[in-house]
Amino acid sequence: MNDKETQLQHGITRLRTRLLVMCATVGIAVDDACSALATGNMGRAGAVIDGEMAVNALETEIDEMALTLLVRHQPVAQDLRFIVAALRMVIDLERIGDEAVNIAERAIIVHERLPEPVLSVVSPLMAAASGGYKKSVEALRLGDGAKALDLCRSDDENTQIEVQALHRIVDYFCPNGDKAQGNQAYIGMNGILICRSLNRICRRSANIAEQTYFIAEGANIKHVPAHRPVQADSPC
Amino acid sequence: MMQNCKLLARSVDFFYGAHQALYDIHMEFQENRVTALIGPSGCGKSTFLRCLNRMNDLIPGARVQGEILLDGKNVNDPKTDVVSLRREVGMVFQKPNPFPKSIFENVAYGLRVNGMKKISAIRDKVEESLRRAAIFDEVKDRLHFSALELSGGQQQRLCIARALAVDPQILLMDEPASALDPIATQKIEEGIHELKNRLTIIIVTHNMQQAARVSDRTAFFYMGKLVEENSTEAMFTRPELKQTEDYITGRFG
Repeated sequence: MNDKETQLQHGITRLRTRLLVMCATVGIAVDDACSALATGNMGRAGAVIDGEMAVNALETEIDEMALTLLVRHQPVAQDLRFIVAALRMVIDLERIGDEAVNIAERAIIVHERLPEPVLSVVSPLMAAASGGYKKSVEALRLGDGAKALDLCRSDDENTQIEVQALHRIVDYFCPNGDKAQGNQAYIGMNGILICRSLNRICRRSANIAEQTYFIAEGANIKHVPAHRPVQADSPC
Repeated sequence: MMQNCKLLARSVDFFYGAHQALYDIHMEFQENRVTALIGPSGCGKSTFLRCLNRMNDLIPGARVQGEILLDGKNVNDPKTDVVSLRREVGMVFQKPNPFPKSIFENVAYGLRVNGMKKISAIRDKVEESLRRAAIFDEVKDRLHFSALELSGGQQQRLCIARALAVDPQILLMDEPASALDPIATQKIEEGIHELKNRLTIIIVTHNMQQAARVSDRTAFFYMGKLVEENSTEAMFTRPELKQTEDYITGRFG
């Protein structure tokens, strides 16, 4: 600890370091998952799946560090903003990590490199996701609000890329331009997307329940396997 | 000028002899709002607070320039009745200072000085003031015991009741809880939330969390100058100036 650094500043420096470590870990997972999908390298897909626990552990660690800083130092201004933002970011980082695992699992299911037509559709989105993630981490590392704002404003662009990709995947299902078949594929794809959204509601409902347990019992049960007994946190 | 401005300080300079302690302070205090004055020791916040009801008049060589307007009337006007001013702008100090009299007499004293004679009216007013200061239930069975037997926190709330008894419009509080334990501090702070419905409160505190908890607006003083004044929420989440940010985050001071 620097002589002039207060305990709070020292804690925030450590929190920032661990947050950037989590960013890097998740970034590697995203790149590896995309690479596995594009190249059929199942080793990389396996590494992403194996790495999930490390991401979860980082989320728990950062969450506890932030809570301890709040309890011990009652920070204000930029210190408060950083800690609150860190608490929010780890949730998104963990979800991005989960998505990387989902992609890696899909890569294993399709078992080999994606067929070229599908890959060419998915590639722009992979580039947008990987590039956007790297830019967001860079903005965080530099504390650059202008860069962050730029990135927030490119959200619509990414939605456009996604919509185009989905339409081209429908076309892939009916290469001969059969309207009835195309319509069926379109409905089927929407069914898949609806299932995914519903599943996300289920998962986020479970997240709310986890937070309710934390409020009531003071223990973080996120990432704790159902068979393991839970222990109360001791943030300070 | 803000809406419902109760008190306005305009270009206030203050001198202790040749030493200038305040520089060109401009502040507006809205009715029924709590304003916290923060800043490192010696920055002038208590000096400024004491200007508002002319407590500094008692200091030899002290001199004030500029205007302090209470409901539009300059409190520094030579024609101002200082006793009447201090009735309208009450004060609670860092260290509880009850009179060596009974609990009842501490609160009744100001009423009697102000000419109230009817004992039933005095009794009602004492009870009302003790209730507003959130201490009545703790002392109702021993109103005629010595105030010096009360705990520090109770003595401070008694002093608040004493100030409230004469129906001030503004209450100045100079680190009112700095000598109290957390429970007593909490009672004072809860009291402030209640009191602001009928009063304008200006509080000096070194405790950032206390300023954040009790006040609607916060003003940061440094070396005799008002550096930044803003809503408390903005001040403690996104202060406009780096100097404020550095102070409230403990990077200097």
